[in-house]
Amino acid sequence: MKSLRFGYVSGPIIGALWMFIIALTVAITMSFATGDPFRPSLWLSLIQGAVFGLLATSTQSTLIKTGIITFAVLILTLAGIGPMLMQTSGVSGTFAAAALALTTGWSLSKIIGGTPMGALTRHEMEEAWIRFLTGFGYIFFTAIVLIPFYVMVMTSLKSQSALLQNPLDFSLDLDKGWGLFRSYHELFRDFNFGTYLWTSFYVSVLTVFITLAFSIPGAYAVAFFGAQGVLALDPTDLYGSDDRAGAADLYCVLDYRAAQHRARHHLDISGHDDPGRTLYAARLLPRNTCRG
Amino acid sequence: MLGRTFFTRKTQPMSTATPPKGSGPLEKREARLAWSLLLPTISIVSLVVVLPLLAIFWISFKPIGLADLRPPAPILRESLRGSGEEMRVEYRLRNSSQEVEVTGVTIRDTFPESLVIIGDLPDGCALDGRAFICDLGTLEPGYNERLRVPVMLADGVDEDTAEDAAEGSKPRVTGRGTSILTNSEFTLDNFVRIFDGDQFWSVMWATLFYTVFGTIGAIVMGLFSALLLNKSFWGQGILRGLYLFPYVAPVIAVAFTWVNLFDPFSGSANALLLQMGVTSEAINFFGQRPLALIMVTVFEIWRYFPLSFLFILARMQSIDSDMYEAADMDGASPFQKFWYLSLPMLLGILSVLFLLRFIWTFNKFDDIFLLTGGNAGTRTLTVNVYEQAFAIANIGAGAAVAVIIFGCLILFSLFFFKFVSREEGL
Repeated sequence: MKSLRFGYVSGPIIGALWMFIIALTVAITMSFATGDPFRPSLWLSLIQGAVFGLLATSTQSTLIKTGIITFAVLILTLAGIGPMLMQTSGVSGTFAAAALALTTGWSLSKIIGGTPMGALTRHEMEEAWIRFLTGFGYIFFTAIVLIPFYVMVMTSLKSQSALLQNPLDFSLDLDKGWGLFRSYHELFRDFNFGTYLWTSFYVSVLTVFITLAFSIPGAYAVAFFGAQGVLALDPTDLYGSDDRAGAADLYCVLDYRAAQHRARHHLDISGHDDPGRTLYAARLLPRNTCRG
Repeated sequence: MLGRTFFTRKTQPMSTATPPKGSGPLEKREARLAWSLLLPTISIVSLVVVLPLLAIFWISFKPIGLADLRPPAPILRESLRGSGEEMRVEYRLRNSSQEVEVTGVTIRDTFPESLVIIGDLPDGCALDGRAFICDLGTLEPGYNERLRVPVMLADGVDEDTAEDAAEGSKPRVTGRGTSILTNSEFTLDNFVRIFDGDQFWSVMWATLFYTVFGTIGAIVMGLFSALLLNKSFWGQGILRGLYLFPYVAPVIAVAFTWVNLFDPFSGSANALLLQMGVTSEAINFFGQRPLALIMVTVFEIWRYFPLSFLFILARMQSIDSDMYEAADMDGASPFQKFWYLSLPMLLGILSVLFLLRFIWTFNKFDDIFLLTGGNAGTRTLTVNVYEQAFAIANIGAGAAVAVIIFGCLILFSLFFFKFVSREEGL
């Protein structure tokens, strides 16, 4: 770990890892957007990333470093020996290379541009690594959440056979116009979707009101009087499912506003739809504050 | 509270200010009000939770299959058959059970005016005016006979009217069979069968793997994402909302998406992996051991990290910033601040989260069932309840698994109350 405290060690390592992450991200994004084949090259991206990382720790001005990295990535990628390999020479290829180059140049100098090449203080080293981890975190979490969502939406706009032909091609055929929404149209026309929507709607509304009727008095009692002995009958354990996880939202609502008017918010708990959950939520309230 | 303190203090001499003994009248009234307010909630919780629970315990000690849920009973159908000389009213009587006898069987029917009885009545039957009564005693298991009453049409009645009249008066049949649900026959077979063989231990292993890794994974991911978003920047609100998506989306929708995404033939994930040269042939993510179990666990982590994220972020935002400023003055580095300040402050919420998530994940059924149906080594205890009770129609064994799950949950809860609840003031 000690050796990480030198710009010429941390810089290239971060650079190499970051280059691969960016190449992978751009490749996946472009694949999903166009359906054309893009893929990162593990070794090329690691080696080139290390070089760029070292370069980024040099004493040159940030603008020059960013320019050099961007230009180098662009040329190498277009020449087919860059961190990302592609088997397309069309517009999408040029676009992908440009996107990769700009992202790399900008982000790499942001992450380790200000870090000196020589010995680092603990702060300098940790801050560089934290910037790297933060960047990775944003990409990672956004990807794992967005990709399934994107796939869900795009699948609904495409036909099964088109997806079977190229599972990566989520690009839309805009010529179809309103025909894109054929699945939705069929849903309502042929499969009684309106009926189901209506059922869901009134079941939800009824549930909320019936539960409210039962839970407001109970929650009130627990929150204000503590109702000794009720707490032994803990609904958390009696309820087998995690549906009452809604208590979590509540906990947050309460916690966010902890400073202000907490007593008023004990009523928030009634917004969740089963008595067990509400009791549980009521228990999360610091009782003394509520009585207070 | 304030009122009560004031009240009690007034009754005590100032010099000997001891706490009041027992509960005062105000406190008693408060307690009564509290209990009456709680009554509806408690009764509904008891109804929907306690009764089914008792039923499950009862059934788990019964040798009972899906078909035995209905108690054995005599089943009767009446019809007017034949014509002219051959005309007869036929009672077709059978025992619904092939194994248990039905006792005290009687038939009561009213003969319409349009029919005249002309021959012998079946054994055990008698006619009293228009009332037709049979006392048949005990029906053997699998009993299935026809009782015939020869009749002829009364004057001026046509056949259709007679038929309508005969079948219009519904015969009433009584008889008791011992239902396996209510008799005093108990057995430990269900439990023996469940613990017998390797299957139970593979199910237990899958459950533990799924629960432990699902819980820890979701909490660690939640911690990281909370760290990421615990600062203000442009688009922070959008990102927070986005990160909640796996948790708020309906499970059937996200499970369907995952199955689609990882499909071995038309899945995008496989297409991507093939294209990047990671694998040379498509991977069956949800169909092979041990990958299916890992994927199901990853799905669990993915789906529930937003919950931990919410809890942890809320706690983080309530940590006083003074502490970090003091740490800055002392020259603490970012990792040191995380390790020595943030983490100890978060320990309480992390332990609560761990136990809650542990219990909830242990109980998870829908996610696994939708993704793999319990195949390819992903059969957990909850899926096993379904398999036993409905797939192989052995209700008793299903209930026994449910009882075992209940036992585990009781253990977790005891642990929870002993070690965690006090700490967080729950």
